[in-house]
Amino acid sequence: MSSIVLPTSRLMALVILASSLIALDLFMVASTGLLGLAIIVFILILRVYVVLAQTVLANIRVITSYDGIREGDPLKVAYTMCNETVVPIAIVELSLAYPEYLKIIEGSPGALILIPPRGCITYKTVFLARVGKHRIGPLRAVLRDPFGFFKGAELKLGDILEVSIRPREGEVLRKILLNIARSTGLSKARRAGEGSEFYFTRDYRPGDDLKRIYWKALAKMRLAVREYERESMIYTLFLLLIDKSMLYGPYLNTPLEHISRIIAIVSRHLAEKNDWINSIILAGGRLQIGIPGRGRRGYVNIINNISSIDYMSIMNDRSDSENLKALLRSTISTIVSTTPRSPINLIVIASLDNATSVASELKHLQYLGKFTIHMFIPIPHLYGLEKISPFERAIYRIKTFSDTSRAQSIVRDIRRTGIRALAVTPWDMATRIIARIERMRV
Amino acid sequence: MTMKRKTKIVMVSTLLILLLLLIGIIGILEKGPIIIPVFIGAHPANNGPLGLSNLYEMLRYNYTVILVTNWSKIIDSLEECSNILIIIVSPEAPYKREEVESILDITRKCRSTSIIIGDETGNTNMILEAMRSNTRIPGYSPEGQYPIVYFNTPWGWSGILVLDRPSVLTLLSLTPNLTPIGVLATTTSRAISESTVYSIVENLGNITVLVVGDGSIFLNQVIRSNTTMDYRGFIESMIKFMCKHNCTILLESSKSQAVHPRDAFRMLSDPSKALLVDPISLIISFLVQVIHPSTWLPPLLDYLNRLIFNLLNIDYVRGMLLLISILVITLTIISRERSVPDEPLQDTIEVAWYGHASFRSKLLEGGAKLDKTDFLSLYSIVDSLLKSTTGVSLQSPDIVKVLVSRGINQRKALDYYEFMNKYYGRASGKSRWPLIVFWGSIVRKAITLSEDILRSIGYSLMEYRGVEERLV
Repeated sequence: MSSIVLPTSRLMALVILASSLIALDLFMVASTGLLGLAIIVFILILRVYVVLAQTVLANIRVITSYDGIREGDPLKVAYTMCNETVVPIAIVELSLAYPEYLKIIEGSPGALILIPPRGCITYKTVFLARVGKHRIGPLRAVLRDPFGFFKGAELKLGDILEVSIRPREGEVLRKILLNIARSTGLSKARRAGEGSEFYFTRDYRPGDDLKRIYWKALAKMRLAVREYERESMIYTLFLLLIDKSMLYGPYLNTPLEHISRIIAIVSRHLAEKNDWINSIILAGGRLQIGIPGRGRRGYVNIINNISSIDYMSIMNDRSDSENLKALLRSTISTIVSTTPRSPINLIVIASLDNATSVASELKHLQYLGKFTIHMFIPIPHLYGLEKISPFERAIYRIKTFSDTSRAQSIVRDIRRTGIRALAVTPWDMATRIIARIERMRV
Repeated sequence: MTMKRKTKIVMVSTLLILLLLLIGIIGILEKGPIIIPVFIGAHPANNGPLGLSNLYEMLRYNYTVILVTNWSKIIDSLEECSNILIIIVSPEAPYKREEVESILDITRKCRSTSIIIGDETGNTNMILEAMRSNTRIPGYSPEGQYPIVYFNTPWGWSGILVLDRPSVLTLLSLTPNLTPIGVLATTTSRAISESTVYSIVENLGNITVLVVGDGSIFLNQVIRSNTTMDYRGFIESMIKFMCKHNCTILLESSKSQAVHPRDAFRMLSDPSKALLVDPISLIISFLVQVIHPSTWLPPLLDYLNRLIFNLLNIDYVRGMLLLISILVITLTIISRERSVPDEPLQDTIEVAWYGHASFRSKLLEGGAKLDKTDFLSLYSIVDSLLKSTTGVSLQSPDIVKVLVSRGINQRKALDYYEFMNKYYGRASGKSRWPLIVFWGSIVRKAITLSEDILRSIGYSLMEYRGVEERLV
């Protein structure tokens, strides 16, 4: 029990004072013995209280909750601590454990609180939500007496909250998509057939369905029927290979967040066309295989998969190139075995460091015939151009020119394998990816 | 196989043990010293020559022996009362009436009782009288020293023993129940007279009494002696005879004189009495006295008290003691607690991850250094863009015309062409001119000039959407 409460250096000073007072009395220098003894008794009482309060604090009831699931929204985290005993708990220093890459926009990461007897107190803080899975909490707590003579051992209060944040489909991206996309309806093959979009009219042929007769043409004494554009069905598979460099950049505008938003908006677009869509994410040495689906179901599956990306596992990933290759082979066999026979658009987004390895493993897929592979390689250092003055921006560009050149040569090498690779900058990534996907639909 | 580390578990703290010890010492002190008396006469606890310790050891080896220190209480403590043998050797004081009554009670209560009396003082006459014995012990007579006595016993032992200073027994009447067994050796069995009988056996119903007019034959000095006379054999056979099968022996221990150890110590200095004191008993008694806190604690405290008082009268010692006391009290309290620095909890420090993070932060602080490598990079950027846009390299003199066609002033275009190529030659090692170059300012100037040129062909180094679009 004694180990849970420790005296501070302040107490040592007080003890020296008390013992001095007692010693002065013992040697009949001054009548201060009683005062010295009173201080010792006070210290003992204080200690008993702190041990009691520490025990209560260790067994306190903590209710944890959070609110906010979309990127860019406030993510409100609350820890409610209820003291069901008659012992007041004072003073408790709190500090919330949370990932260093998250930003608090309201409230404080720590607090000094007093929990009244038979009462509750709530600690709230608000983060700016960013896409992915994050672990927030527990609350670290240290109890001190009001004078700071004793300090309790550090306690962990409440649970660790696992928060999954979905990407936000911004208006800018939606506008880009609408500009590039040919229509917002179902997918069409530019061939006559079953569909809902009007394609052209032609003369009636025996056997044509009467429902398709174009009555307005009949007014001009022409028997014609309406032809509709045949709806096509394509299967789009997003393969995301995420490493540390994908997490570099300004808050809410890292390559990962940028890509997540683009994939979200494109997935929605494809879902609205009732296409088959799916995603496979390789992050932090772990494979997240999504569930293929059409329409809204496919879209939700992709969003869930993206919101499960764990930042800390990416940052702590120590796997080497051999591990990556093994994972890639496993990924490829999963792709081959789980995708249908119909044509598949494989949209690969890989980091600059992994792009060559990924391309060398994926090139074999092309020989199967059904895969059309497009690889996009974000240039991570360009995300550092934000929030820099123009002249410094020029210096930054010059200093990082070797990286830009490297991206250039990597893309060139990958293209030689037959894979359509593209190094994308932060400002043209959305346009290029959306344009490429739209082109594949034609 | 894992080795289990032994852990020491302290169930009772040292402080508590010390506290209990202190309480114990104070308790013993309050109780006062234990005085172990030193027996100097015929007592089983006396190891000296005049003691009975050897007799006691001898008896204890074969029989159940009870030392009687109080006759009135012994009757209650007797668990078994079938055969009792009472041995009384040289009592140093006469018996009181109630003591005699107690002995008689034993004889009445128990199935058979035997009594061995070795007495030259006559202190046991009250017992003999109470049991209606026909024998009396008149007491020691100085002329009868060291008589040679012939013993002829009913249990078969016979022989000659020299007695020390015996008392001749007085036989009130010679009855068939009374058998003299020890007589002066010069007399014959036919001429037994009152003055020559030293030992008898008398049967008094359920009581058998054996009287020897000298207790000295039972003493340590006699039993230990290596003479030709078999005192030990006599005593052993006598006890065997008197003690019926499986008897309990009551050995008289209430009539021996005990002296204070201090007096016993004094006796050692008197040669006439030195023999009476057993040195081992005296040492044990003395040690017990010395160890006892009442002996040493009060003087010690008194000494310390006076010492402290004297020390306190010396000024510098007083100051030193004050300091030492403060230190001792403080350390005593502190040593029980490990103090910790009271530091606040470390909050999470939020970070933004960037590629080239250290360089970027240095750049934002205005501390980025530029060198000729940066100039070469800038040259390469501009050259690539010009070639891909206009088809003309920056190294070519035609670039001036091209730039003019793009709206750049002739002079400015020429200056730019010359500036860039001059320092390119210097940076790439093709030229050694100019000799001294401050690359920091040159690169900064080149950036400013290049920005104007690149803007003319639709690119920028300083805008967010920059040259990379074309480069990659």
